[in-house]
Amino acid sequence: MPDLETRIRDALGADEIGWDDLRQPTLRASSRSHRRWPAMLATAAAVAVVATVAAVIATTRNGTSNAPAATQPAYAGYAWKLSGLTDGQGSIAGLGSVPAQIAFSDTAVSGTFDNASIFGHYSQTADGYALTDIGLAGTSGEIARSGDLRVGHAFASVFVHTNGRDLDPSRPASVAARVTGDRLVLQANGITLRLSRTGPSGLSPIIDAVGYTWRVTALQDRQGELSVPQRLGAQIGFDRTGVVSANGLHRSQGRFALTSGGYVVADSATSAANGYVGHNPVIVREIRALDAVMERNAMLSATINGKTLTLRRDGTALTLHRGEPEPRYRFTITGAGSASVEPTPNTPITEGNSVSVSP
Amino acid sequence: VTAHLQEGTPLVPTIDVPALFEKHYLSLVRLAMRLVDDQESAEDLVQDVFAALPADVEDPHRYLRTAVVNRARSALRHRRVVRAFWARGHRLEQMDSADLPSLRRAERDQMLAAIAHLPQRQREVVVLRYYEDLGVAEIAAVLNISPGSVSSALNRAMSALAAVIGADDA
Repeated sequence: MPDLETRIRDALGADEIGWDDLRQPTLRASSRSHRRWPAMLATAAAVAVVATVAAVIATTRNGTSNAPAATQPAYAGYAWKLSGLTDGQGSIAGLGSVPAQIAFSDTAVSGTFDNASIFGHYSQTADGYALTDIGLAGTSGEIARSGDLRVGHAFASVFVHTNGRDLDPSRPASVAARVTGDRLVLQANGITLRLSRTGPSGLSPIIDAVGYTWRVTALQDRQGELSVPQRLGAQIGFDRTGVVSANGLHRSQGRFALTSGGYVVADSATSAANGYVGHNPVIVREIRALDAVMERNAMLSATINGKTLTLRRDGTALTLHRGEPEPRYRFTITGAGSASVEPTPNTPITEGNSVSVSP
Repeated sequence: VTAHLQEGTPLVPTIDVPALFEKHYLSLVRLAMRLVDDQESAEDLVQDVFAALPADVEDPHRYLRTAVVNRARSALRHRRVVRAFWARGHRLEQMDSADLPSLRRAERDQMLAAIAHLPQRQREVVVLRYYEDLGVAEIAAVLNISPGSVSSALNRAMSALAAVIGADDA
């Protein structure tokens, strides 16, 4: 019988794979920007079809209609779980097992379905609310379950206008909302959603950061606090297709998925093509801090106070100042299933660029 | 604290990443497979390591190996893994079982499962010692711990493996 060390070496050394066994035999860095990001965007966009949210306001309580009021609407501050819907094909009840939920703060709304979210801001109207600033976020999820396609489409319809099976996030919905006890009914685009209150909203504060770039002005790490001069401040941007980007000396991108306190980074990647080779302590610490907040699976807490965003992860904190809004862009979801996305993430998102999902 | 960027600071990589990839990728994937539980995750994390490789690293191979170990640890921290299934999972499907006596194969499976069940630090030490053939000092450098901690972890791991495999191997 061989000794223990020999047996360990034998086991660890057995069954070595070779180049022919590799599934990713080439360096991903150059191909990532051409293949992986579009795929991720496509996935997120496709998921969003099923995952959409809607929100509307309830201007009534106990069945009594109210005029638009300056007071907080009855649905604000709570999360509401989908329980049933009515669309052109009829009604579906007993949807409690479907992972679909809509949450409201006093200004923002987010709908989640599996791991995807559709979110925006709202303002009260006579019978509900009108949405603006629609965005999508999330990681991935099952989108092909036929039973959910109808539900997902209905769910999205209370966030954006629809044209048949096409959803157009560039045309946010105007939603009628009614609260009766712990029940919420939302109506838009011929769709009625019935929801049940589940608890406090837990809406991610990062929704208010989306659509802007934010410049690092200070950081805190294990070495202490550090002010970052404007000319050295890297920028972090959150766009409405669910991509978070950091543009410092290194460039990083990832998807963000909303959490109650902030967000989680998914599928992130960092390019060192323009890496820093100097020893400036500010830059070195800033790069390290950015790497920490952009790392895959990093869970960030976020707070926003006016134009100041603070991101925290473990012992690292970044303070950022809000910059100019990103250029608006247009994206259209045309169904669920396979998907294609343009432009690639290397191409700035500008007016007229589109994100499309083909059935 | 203020600092200034000097104009002309070189921002181009000073290392040949494609050449490093060609030279080290396969061996790093093999190492990662000993630390995580499937080839796909191993390749993913090694690709991530190359993507994040700083341009000014002095010892790229050492840096890459350390980064793979760290990322493997992070990967395991973020997902639930039934490590015991690794040896019996798709890894076995790739084996040419007809060439291996069943007893020897069973012993390897048992050992791999036992290693996979070790606490992560002990698992790393065992893999670096008996797969990478690193000395205690080198392992300490990779894991950024003291040589004494390496020896301690290695002793505990060997005791645990001996207990699992059989008292006659201790």
